[in-house]
Amino acid sequence: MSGETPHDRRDVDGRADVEIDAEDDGGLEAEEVEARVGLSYTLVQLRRDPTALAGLAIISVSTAVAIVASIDALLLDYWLTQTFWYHPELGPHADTNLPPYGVSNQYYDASRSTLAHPLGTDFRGRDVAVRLFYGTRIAITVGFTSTVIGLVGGTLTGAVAGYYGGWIDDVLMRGAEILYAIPFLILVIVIVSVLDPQRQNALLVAMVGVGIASMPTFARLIRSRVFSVREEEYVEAAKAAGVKDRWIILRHVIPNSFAPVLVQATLQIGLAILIIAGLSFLGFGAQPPQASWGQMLNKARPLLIPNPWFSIFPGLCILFTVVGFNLLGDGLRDAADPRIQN
Amino acid sequence: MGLFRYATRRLLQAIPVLLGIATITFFLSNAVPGDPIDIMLGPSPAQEQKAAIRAKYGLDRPLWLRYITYLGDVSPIWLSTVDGFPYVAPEFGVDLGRSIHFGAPVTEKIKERLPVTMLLMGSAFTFALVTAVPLGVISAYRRNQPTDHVSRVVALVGVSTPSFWIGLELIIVFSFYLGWLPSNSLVMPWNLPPAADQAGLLSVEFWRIAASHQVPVLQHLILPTISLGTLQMAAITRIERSAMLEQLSQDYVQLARAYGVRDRKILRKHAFRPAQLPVITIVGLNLTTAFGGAVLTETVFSINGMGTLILTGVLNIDYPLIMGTTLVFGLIFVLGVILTDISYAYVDPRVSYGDQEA
Amino acid sequence: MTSKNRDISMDRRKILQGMGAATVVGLAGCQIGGNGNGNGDADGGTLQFAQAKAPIRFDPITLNDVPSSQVTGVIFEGLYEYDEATGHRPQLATSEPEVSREGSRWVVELEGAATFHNGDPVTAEDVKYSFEAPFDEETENASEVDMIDTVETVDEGTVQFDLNFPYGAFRHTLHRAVVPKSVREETKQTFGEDETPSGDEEIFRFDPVGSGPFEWVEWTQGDNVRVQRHDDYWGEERPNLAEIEFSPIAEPTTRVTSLENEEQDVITDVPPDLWTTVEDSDSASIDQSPGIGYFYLAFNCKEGPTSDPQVREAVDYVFDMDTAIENFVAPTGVRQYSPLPRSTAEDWEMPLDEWRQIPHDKDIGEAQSLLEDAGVAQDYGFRIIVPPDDKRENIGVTVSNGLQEAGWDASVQRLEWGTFLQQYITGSEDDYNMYTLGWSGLPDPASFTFPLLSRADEALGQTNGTYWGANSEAGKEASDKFIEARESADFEERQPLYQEAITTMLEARVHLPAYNLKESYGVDNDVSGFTSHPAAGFKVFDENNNTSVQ
Repeated sequence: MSGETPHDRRDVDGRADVEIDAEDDGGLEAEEVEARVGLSYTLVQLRRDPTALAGLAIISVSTAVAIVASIDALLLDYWLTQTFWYHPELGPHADTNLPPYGVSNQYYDASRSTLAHPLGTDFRGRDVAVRLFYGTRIAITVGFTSTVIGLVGGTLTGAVAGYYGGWIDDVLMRGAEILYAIPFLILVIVIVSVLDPQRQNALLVAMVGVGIASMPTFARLIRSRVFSVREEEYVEAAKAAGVKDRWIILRHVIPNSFAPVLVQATLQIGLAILIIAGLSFLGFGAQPPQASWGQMLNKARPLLIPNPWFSIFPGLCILFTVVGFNLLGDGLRDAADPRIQN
Repeated sequence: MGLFRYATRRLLQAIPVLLGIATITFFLSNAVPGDPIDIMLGPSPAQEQKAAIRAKYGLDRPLWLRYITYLGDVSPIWLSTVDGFPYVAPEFGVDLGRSIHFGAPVTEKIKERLPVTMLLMGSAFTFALVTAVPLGVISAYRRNQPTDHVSRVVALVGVSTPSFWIGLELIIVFSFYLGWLPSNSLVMPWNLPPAADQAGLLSVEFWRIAASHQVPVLQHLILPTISLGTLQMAAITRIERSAMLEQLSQDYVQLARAYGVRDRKILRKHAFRPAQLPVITIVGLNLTTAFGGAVLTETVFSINGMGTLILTGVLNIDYPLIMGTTLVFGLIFVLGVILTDISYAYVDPRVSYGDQEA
Repeated sequence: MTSKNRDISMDRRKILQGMGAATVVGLAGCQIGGNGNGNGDADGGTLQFAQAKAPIRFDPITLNDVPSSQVTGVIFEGLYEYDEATGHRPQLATSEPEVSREGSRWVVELEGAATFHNGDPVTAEDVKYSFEAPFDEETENASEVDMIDTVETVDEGTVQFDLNFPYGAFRHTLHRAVVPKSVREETKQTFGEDETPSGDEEIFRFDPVGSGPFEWVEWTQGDNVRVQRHDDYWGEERPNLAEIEFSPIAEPTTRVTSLENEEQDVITDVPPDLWTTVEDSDSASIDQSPGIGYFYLAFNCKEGPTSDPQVREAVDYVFDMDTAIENFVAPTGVRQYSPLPRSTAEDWEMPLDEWRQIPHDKDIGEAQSLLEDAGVAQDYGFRIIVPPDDKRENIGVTVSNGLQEAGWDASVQRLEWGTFLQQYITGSEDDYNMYTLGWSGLPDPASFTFPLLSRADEALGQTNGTYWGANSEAGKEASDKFIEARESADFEERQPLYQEAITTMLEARVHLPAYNLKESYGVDNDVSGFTSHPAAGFKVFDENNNTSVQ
């Protein structure tokens, strides 16, 4: 976690923790409010929130870029980029380590910089702008995929634990606690080393690893919501009518806990992007010549002094994208929690 | 339930968790492909020698036996077989094994590295708390005013920036271009120069040397602290702000206002303390994530701490080292969470040491 | 960790593992000379020396990594040391060794005055012990001394080595560090043992005692190692330096920054990208010597398309090695056209101009027709594995780009050392078609040919040469020549064998020789008397050098 994190591990509103640990301590009131609002209310609120909309805009742009890049890479074999631009993984396109347009570095002065490579070239002469463009694809993909893994796995675990309670709850929650107690950057590093020593699919493994590592967060969140939903009349009624447990969990319990999970998931995507960038930086995520931001930062390390530009842009890209998810997450949270509304 | 009983109960509950961590790390690290002996010997080891070394490290025994032995070694108390099965005797003490890469006991390596990481993390969290708490409070108090906006933007950017990237850019600017601060390793406050020893503990000279030694200590700490602490700072600011807002919207605050109590006083006397609960939780929970951040920060700043130690373990397929370091991380985390829970009471007397596990 | 640093030591380690070859570590101590003619300035200050990696242990009998040997180099001495180049001069010996029985018996006289740091004299018994222990204790360094049949102490001051065969490179083996038998026997600690024989707290490898000009102080937290001038050093001169402090700084940028900040006086391994930074610096400069090493691209000659020499030639056509080295290695290294480092090749009168003509320039068309002729399927994907090192990775990527240009799929995998070392020896097509690796060794052809290209029992199953020899007549012949040449001490006999066999190897393109790294150090301008050295790495104190810091 590239240290990254946490704000939000449990804090859909900073309050979640208190509720889990010091149960019922004034929490009930909030739960009632929560039940009343639900998902649609949240989304309606969102439309009035400029920061959330800004976040949504950033995410839309990034996702659009990622989709274009993915289509190009998977379906067109880089035809699009190669025709109008440069291949992101093959080089060289130009001299190595060119500075961005209009500035200089230790190798070249500003007169050598060119608009053909607006952000300069890397140590292998590849265009930095094209690689950043393609990096979006990896960032967005890993962010969404790993979060979906964590969300699905964590939601199911948490729902089952919360609904059944008793020893099932104990076992599952202990398991979550164990996963939680191992620093998860390290957990993922070990998982990558174990499952993919050749690093052929390191990115995929890292993605799954981050997903697994984020499961406890979702599990705890869902579990605390389930505790309250469980007691709702309609759930009692369904139970009495002999509806199967599985059905009750899927049909009633999970949908009713959806708003806070959505908030957490949005924040988690940003977090996952940060973590995978950190993993790639350490060499356990994206592998060369893949164009990923973390990987680019790794390659920028030996060049920090002669070509500092090269290290600046990938970092800004990460920052920009993650800010997008955090803005949206904040917006969703405020919208979901009427008490903080004006 | 009293504090003592509660603490004991929590500690007992921690045992299965620690056991689980030991189990996971054991099987995970043993599943790491690659032969540590190959790495140790380099590309062309003599085969007979290899077998002998494997035996020395116990790598020739079946996995389950190694697992049992390992559990026995890491547990403070364990029954071990003496001279074959029927005779058992209690075995005391913790043994994390011997690092294959360093050829030294893992506990020794950890004793050497842990203080370094603790110093780094302590410094990062201090920095984070000292800046974040006031920032969060002011932000909540001056809600939707310029101060609030600035602090929210700072916090937003802080939680969205990769810590290692901050580190890299700090090195370029402050170490290379400006040459103000060192960019590598930490100096331990207690590693005094030899002159101090000669002077003797009671002399004025000793304290003068000790004091001036703290200058390089601080210089080395500044950049890594900012790199690791920014994220925590931002995270805590956000929590602090929302917790304060929540408190300020409580009925008792409204009531106090209605009675004409000054805002500043409400803030100081009533709202502040309960708002610290989530902050404490986050600090406790963020211990693990900060350890992850420490791996990156230590890598960027070439600090020989636990983070680089664990990376060395992974890269060299050094099972005992991976297992030992992970276990220690787990232990610290579990203790951190327990301490967090206990400290609730000091902040908010309304929290009782009840069955908080729900 | 970008492992530039890591693998440097791994490369060295290969030497260390180089069968039958003594090693850089074996040379520990060679950089220190007893009879310096410096002026012995009493306070030359403290030298801050930044290493690329942390040392591990300081017992010359068992250590086999470069950072550790950089430290033991100033603490221990050998019978001989290198002069300014790769010639030999006595250190603990008094004169040149007497060689008889066609090069299989070596007799060395010891310097009578030499003493260890604890005051004990350096005796023939200590020398015997130092050469026998690596083998007797089954250490990782056993292969460096296994050509020795017996070591006898003729008298207190004379040692006689009898070898199993006339070993051409034994002069270099005689550079191994001499340790005090009585001390080490009490405090040694071998693999996995917790206790020293005496139960002593002080363990030899963390508390070494040698006869060199510097003595051990401590290994502090943060892994800094401190050594100080030994005031009772037996030689006539004393080092100027009062102390040397070795600190590991893995990250190259950080290393260079700390040199610029003057936190460090000397740094090792200046990377290519920072070369000009240090060169242009106002406060520091680069001190360099040609190194004794060999980096190459090797083919899987056992399985897959690359077992066909035509395919290997096609690969030679898809890229230009000269350009790749120019882009990714220069100025930290130089292009090398054979397995032998240039200085060794020149000493051995090898046909360098002829060898230089063997590699092809880039010609994609030619490569395509060769690959088609050889019948490589259009959908075949070549797999190139590289260790975690940017330079070698870049060469791998250059080849893969070339193959892609020619229309074949190719991928580069950067593996951790553990995985790499397991994989490159399998000979399986599934594991690799090509790999890049480095080797460093002694300034003798045996060091670079026998372990890498022969089919000797010791090398079998470990080197690519195995597979080359196994499926080609030319390969078998060349392998026999490499083995034969190693077991001879006669230059006239060895030279033609090496020349022919290496030429065969280059034409068959078993390896594509790539480059050789320089021994390069960033040195602060306040430091004087420090020099890089091709075989010893660097020297801080000997007949010609006496380092001091202002």
